[in-house]
Amino acid sequence: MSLAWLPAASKALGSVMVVAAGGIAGFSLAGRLETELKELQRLETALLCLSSEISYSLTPLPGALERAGERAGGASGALFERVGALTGLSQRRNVTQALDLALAEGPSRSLAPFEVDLVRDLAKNLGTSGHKEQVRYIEMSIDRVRSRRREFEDECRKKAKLYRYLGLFSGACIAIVLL
Amino acid sequence: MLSTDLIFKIAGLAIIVSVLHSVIKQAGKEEYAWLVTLTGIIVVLTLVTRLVSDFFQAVKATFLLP
Repeated sequence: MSLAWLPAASKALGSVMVVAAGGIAGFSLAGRLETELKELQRLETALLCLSSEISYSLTPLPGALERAGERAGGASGALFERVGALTGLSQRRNVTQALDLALAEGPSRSLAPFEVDLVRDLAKNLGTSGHKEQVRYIEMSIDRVRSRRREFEDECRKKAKLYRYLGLFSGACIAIVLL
Repeated sequence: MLSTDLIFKIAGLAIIVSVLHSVIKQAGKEEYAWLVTLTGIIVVLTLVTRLVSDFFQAVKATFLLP
């Protein structure tokens, strides 16, 4: 049986693998951007839920944080739930201390620096004033998240396309040079 | 004899670099687009360096230059 086709076939396979590797790298970078955008949307949802829990249901802060976290989901939701569980009179911690502990435990790994800073700023004002003032602070945070989400949506659309093309074509370039 | 493989490689690289240039320029990063084009030129030059060197050797030998 002649194996003359083997070198050409292995070259072709190698090229396909190099292009695929480049494509996977590009697509995974684009995927990371999309995950970050989804996380911003979840943070907005969590803040909206927190605001309605405090203003309409008049739920105490720990319970409001837990419920908001459950409804939002994702890393932001998990952080809110954890802060809710760690704060309150029974835990003898204020919201800022509970947040620092929750961030040290780990869910913040998938949160962007903007989100962590926003939650820290909000935590300083939660539990230290009446429910109307707290709702106002939460609404200010919601406005910040919304404007950041709008900017990020445009950025994400352009960058995701760029990363996908870059990944595929860089793989193709390397395959051509190596062939 | 000039290898046709090299011509196809250079053509393929040129097409890919021009597409990348357009895509990156459209994304608003014009300076990176020019960097990609420059990198493509450098890569092509390295591919043809040996041929250019052979060419100069052939010219020297033909015209008996020192």
